[in-house]
Amino acid sequence: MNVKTFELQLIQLEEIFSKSRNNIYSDDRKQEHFNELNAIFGAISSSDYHGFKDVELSEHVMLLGYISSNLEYLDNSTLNVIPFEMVHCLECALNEWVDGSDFIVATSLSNKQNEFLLESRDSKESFLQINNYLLDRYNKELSHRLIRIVLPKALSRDYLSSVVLYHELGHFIDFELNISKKLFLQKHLRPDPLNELEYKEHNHNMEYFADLFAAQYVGDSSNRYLNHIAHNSPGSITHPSTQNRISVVDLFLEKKACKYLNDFNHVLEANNSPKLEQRYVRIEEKKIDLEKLIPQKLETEKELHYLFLLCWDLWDNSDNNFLAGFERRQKYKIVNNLIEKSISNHIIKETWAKSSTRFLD
Amino acid sequence: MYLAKTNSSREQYDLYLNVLNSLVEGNDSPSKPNIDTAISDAIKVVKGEKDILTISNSNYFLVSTLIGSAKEFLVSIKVNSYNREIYSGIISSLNQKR
Repeated sequence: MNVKTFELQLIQLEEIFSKSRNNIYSDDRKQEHFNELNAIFGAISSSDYHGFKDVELSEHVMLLGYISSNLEYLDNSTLNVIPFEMVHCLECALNEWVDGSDFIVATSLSNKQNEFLLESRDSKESFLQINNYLLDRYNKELSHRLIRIVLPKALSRDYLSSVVLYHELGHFIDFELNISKKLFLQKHLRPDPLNELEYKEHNHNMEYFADLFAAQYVGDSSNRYLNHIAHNSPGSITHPSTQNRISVVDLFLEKKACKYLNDFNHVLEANNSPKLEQRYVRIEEKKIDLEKLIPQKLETEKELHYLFLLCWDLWDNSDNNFLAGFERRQKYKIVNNLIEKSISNHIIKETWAKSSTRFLD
Repeated sequence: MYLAKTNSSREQYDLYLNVLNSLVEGNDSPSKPNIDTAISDAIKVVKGEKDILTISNSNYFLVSTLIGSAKEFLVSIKVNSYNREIYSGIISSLNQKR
C-alpha cells in the first residue's frame, strides 16, 4: 500500500459520490447519513495524506472502505427501489430490541435468486471506535448505523418470501447483543472457534437464534419457505439440517421445552434484553378482510406481523379458499398486493394518528 | 475470487492496537475511557467477580479478546487505573497469542 494507491481509492470514491449525489431517499435520515459521509470524505480528501505513516494509511483505507460500503447500500435504498412496506415491518420488530432511532435499515438488491443475507460489518463497538477516530482526527462523526440487508432484486416485492428477512434481522440482533458469541465465550473462555467442530457449534447457534427470532413474529412461515428452498438439506458447518431447524422452531411454537431457547433467553435475561417469545397476535376469523379482497385492517403491530403468517395460510390453501377461482399468477399477485396494501394502510393510519395528536397538542 | 471477504474483527483489532500503541507513547485518545473500562471488566471476569454474560455490548469485542489472549496478565494487575506499562503488557500478551 502506498500514497498513490490510496489516491486511486480516493478518486474512485469521488466518482461514486458524484453519481449518488442526486439520489432521493425514502426518509430524511438517509440524506443526513449521506451528507455526513460526504463531509468525512471531504475532510480525508483535503488532508495531508502524503505525510501519512503506514498505520495511518491503513486506517484511512479502512475508513474509505467503510464509506464506500455505506454508499452502496444508500444507492440501493432510494425512494423507488427500497421495499418500503417490508422495511417498515422490520423497523417495528427492531424497535422492540434496540433503540431504532440509532439505525437506518438499508437494502441492497442482489441479482442472485434466494440471496437473503445480512452484512454484519458494524457492531455497536466498532461504530464507537470509528466515531472516536473520526472525532479525534477530523472533529466529525456519524449519527446513524446502517443495518445492511441484501435481498434478491426479483423478490423485493414478494412478501411471502420476504418473511426470510425477519430471520436476517434476527442475525442482526444476535450480532448486536452478542448472544451466540457470549454463549461461546462462556463455554470456551475465548471468543473465537478454533476447529471445525467449534465453528459448527457457533454457526448453528446463530442460525437457531435467527430462526427463533423470526418465529416470534411470523410463526412457522419462515420455515415453510425454508422447507421449500432447502428441503431435506443435511446439516453443514454453517447451517443445521433443515429438519433440525424446523424441529427447534416447532418446539418453540408449541411452547415445549427447547434447550436452544433456554440458552438464548438466559443470555438475554443477563443482558436485560427482551426474551424470545411469541410476538404476533392472530386476528379473529370474523375480522379477516382479505377474503373480501380488500386490505386487512390491522389494529396493532402484533397483528401487522401476523399478516405474513395469515397470508402464508391463504397461499397454502389457495386451491380451496376464496382464491380457488383465480389462475395461479393472479393468486400470487392478489396475495402480494393485499399484503402490501394492508401494510401501507397501517403506515398511513399510524402516521395520521401521530400527526393529529401533535396537531391537537 | 479476487479478494477475501473483509474481516471486521481484524479491523477492530487493528484499531484497538493502534490506540493502545498511541497510549504507550503517552498520547491521549477519546477511546481511552472505553479501553480502561474494558480492561477493568476483563479483570473482573477472569478473577470471577463478574458474570461473563453481563459484559457490555459497547466493548464486548475488546473484553472477550482480552479474556482469550491476556488472561494471565490480567490476573496479575493489582491497580484500578492503568498506565503505559499496563497498556504495553496488554500489547505484548495480545501479540503472543495472535
